[in-house]
Amino acid sequence: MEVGREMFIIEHLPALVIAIPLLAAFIAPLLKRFGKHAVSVWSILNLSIVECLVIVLGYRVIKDGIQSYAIGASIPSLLSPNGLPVRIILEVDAISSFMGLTSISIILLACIYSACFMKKYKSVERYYSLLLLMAAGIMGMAFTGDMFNMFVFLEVLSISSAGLIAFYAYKGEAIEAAFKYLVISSISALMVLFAIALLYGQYGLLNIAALGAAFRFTILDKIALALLVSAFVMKCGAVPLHMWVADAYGEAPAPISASLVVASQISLYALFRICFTLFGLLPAIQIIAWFIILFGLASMFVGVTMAMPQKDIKRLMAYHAISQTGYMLLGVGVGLAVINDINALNAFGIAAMEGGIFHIINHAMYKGLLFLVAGAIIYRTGTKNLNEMGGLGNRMPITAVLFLIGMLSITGLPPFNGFASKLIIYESVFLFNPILSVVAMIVSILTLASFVKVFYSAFTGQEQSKYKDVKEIPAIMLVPLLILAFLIILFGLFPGIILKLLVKPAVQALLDRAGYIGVVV
Amino acid sequence: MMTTLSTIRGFWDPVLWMAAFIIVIVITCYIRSLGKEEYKRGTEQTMVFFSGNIPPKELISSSNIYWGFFKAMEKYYTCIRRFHTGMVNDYVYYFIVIVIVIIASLIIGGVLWM
Repeated sequence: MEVGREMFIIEHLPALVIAIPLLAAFIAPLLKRFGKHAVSVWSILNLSIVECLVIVLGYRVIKDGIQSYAIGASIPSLLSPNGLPVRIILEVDAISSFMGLTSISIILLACIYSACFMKKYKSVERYYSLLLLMAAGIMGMAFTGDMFNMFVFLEVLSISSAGLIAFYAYKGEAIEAAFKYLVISSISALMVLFAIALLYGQYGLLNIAALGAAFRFTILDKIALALLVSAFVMKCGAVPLHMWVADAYGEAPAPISASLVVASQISLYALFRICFTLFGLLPAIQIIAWFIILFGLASMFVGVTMAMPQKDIKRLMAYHAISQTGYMLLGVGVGLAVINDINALNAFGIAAMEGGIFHIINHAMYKGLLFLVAGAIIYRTGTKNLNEMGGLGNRMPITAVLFLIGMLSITGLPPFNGFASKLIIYESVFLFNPILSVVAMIVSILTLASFVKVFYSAFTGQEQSKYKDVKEIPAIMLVPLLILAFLIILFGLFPGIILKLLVKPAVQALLDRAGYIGVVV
Repeated sequence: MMTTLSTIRGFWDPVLWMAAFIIVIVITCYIRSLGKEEYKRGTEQTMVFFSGNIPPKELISSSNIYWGFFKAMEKYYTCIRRFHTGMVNDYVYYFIVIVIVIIASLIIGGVLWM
């Protein structure tokens, strides 16, 4: 009986990681009658189950290869009964399980943090319901092998995120930020839908693998590619389509800002999936690669220079999130630029992609930590304005140390995890084009300058008399911060192992277009 | 070693780096201990160096930090802030421009590529 249940769970793993948060989201509001804690415990429990399932799924991917699942089929492994994929297929390879693991880990920690951070608000059941929906949207986008399904989960993610950004509805700024996010998301989703229509109109297919195999590289395909790239670049917050990021990250509750980081990264994943798997053989894909590199370069520089003058701690961090997205775009963009040149790909292209993909998980951790630290400061002082802070290091020493760990990591200082991924990017990108690498290094110096300002303004300097009663944040809020700090140090000390276990398989999966397509077609 | 990360041109080992860091700290502390100890506490000898001026007693806020950098980069910031209007109409406008540029590049570039 136990073995049968175990087999059932393993067989349906790809569907369960999406279904569990989706169903839990609709049950969450009903639990309010048992108290606020019941809703938060329910959410943490469900996200923990999803985290465990994603780890098992990832293990199976590494051990047995790509995991696929046909939704609604009597035999879930029966993908193409008549040689054509007619059902929605979930296809999990190493890169999608890497993204799923990164995302769900940050959302789970944000949820644990929220148990205390959001305690004082009345409608927390809506908050948790939307957070679970957001998790379902992210998991769906990571694991789907179907274009239309991707659009649906993008919509689920966008709507839940907009609701969460507007959670402080009594503040006009939060409503404005959510409105901007909603407009941007609607336009992105509309363009994705239009691109899907162009592809479906030509090939009668929605499955990514089947589409990848059927391409004829027509003008309509190129228009579809341009629409998809633009939409996902906007959703991942790259310059010059980054304007919504500062508002959305800045006005959302701190744990949601941390979750939005992974929500943006899942759009980055969609962009990479489209470019490598769907359009990887397009002769003109190098044009897109150069666009991605240029977006990355602009994101790095504009992001950090716009962060430096910010007075609002969360807006400052939001601009840094844009800047760090640039590193990921740069690394993977360089890999895409040399995808058809096997010598260059082996010499530095794969390394550049490894750097970019490694930076995704590193960024999720240190930016998650920094946003949660910002939330801790706001929780205790009630202000986001750096000009009104000062001397908090004496009152919140643990938070100050945790901020320092996040700060040293984002600036790429050894021995933290940010250094390892940035080192790989610098070295590999230098072989492609030295100027790009030099800009990336300058951006790291400016990042350090910017975070020194935050550390000085918030934690050192003259102590403000109004904060003399401020004390350290509650233990439940410290737990996710300590876990993230521990992971940052762990990833920093053992970068070779992390690269081997998580990053290299993810990069190989992204490059193995034939393998992804071969599972379905 | 488990902590070693192999890169294209070499390797990175955080444990070796930390060992080197500790050695440098020890040498630094030793050199510092050779310095003069006859300074007078509470006098201007131990005051923060503020370009030869008396340090201000009031709080230096975050807005005052890096003012020289912002002054030097004034033109850049004037230009870049012009794009950050905060208006959603402009965001959509930028998006349309990017879509058009990418489509044009793909079509023109695609023709040249063939």
